[in-house]
Amino acid sequence: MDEKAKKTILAASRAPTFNQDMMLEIFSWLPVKSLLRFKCSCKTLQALISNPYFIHLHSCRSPHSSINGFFIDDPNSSSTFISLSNGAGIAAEKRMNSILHSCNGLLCCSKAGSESQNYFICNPATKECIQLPQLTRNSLLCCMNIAYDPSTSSNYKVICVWRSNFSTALLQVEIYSSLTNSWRISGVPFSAPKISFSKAVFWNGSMNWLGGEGSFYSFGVEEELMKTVPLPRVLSLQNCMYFGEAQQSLHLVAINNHHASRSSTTCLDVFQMKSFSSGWSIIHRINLSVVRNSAFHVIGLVKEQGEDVLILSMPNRVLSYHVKEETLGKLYDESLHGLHCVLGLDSLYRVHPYSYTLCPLTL
Amino acid sequence: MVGVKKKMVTLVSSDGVEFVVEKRVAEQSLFIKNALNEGGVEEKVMIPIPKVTSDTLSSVLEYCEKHASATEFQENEIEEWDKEYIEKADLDLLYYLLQASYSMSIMGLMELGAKKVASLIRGKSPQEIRELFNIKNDFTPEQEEEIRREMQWNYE
Repeated sequence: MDEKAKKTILAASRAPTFNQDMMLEIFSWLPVKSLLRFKCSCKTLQALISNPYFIHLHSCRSPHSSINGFFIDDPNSSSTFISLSNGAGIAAEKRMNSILHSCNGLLCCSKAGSESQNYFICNPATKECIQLPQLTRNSLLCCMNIAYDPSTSSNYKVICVWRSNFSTALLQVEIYSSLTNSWRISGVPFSAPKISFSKAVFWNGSMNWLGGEGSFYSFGVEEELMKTVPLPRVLSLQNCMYFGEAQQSLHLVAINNHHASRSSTTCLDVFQMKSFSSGWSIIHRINLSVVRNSAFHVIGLVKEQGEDVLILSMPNRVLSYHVKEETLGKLYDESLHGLHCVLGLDSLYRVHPYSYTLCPLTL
Repeated sequence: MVGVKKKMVTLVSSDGVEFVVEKRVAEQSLFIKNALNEGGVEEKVMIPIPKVTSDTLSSVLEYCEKHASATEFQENEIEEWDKEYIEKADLDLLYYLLQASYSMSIMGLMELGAKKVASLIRGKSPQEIRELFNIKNDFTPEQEEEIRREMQWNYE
């Protein structure tokens, strides 16, 4: 809005004032980031933005908002947040010290307690944080992942997998529901050879993990069943750089050793799966000569004005790569921001995509 | 003349200007549709539209006319038309359109207008929001500071 336009409204005593319903209507189309900023405008707006009906309406209207940035878990210091809009690295709160998983705006964190490990669900946008009750058994924990989709329900679940005390080859799923605020054993112990719990992606109502031969593991949160789903045939798992979800599709990025045009370039294949029945299709083949000679990792695949952008991490730097225009942009530079955040090749496992949500943790 | 005679209704704006439009156009407004159902359809029906001036009403009816014939167009054609329609509305008109669509219950127009206003204000500061919406800051400086501190991480 230009100055002139702004003055027009201000000058006009005839400028209409909106009633509560119309404010609700307008504000329901705003991104969460703006809403959080407007909270301190006045008490009426603060109440509106915290109203459960408003929050529900808002999440229905922006069901699959793109991510706002990444949390980078640093075991040696507090986590860092890297914003996609301006790249500023921000030290997150201490209590988010160890982030285990991130899903549509909620984080699952852990902290060593006096007797056992304590687990938390946090909403960094609203500063809400609750401690999860203790698990039913004290077994070897494999993972603790959040299943949350604000467009379908304001309730969330936490999927925990632990190893059986009788045989470490056997796994057991235990599920926390925000509705009951309790844990419950799901199904019987099962085996899942080579499953890798270091990276979990919640997509299409399922929690998904890589591992296995030519397929990945997928746990349907509603039906509570583990199944295997084929990977792209040409993909070899050790070449896989990225496993994630965006705009309702599942994505895989892998190095393609056969198609690099010169030895100095890296060829990346980007695979997409829109639904379990659609199977994988290759959507991009990228020759990355721009980052030659550097060890890098793909930490994200996001949409920017409808176009795919890869987020790449290198030691001390985070870059964005616009797939169509083949251009690089700098998102984060340690020397610029003075924050300690060294990203090595294991960064895939310590980077958590994050999007703001207004979701309250308890009803 | 061949063909069915089109049913017309007359809408009267708050400043007394009469608009004769086809019934199917007027019925884009749930408020008018309900009024017509309740009253029984008369040949010469007059419906007062309080609070909506003739300038605003003529723009509202332009929208209704297009959307009453929506089935004749491709979906993206309507989308394009909507985009242009709301783009050419200045801020005053935008505000009045929002109010009119609310009082006349025209859901599509309300959504269109609300989205447009949202896109204009998304980058604003809390103070600018107060100015734009004629809101008084009823927080004490301490309260405001507390909320600001709470949300600091989100300011980036």
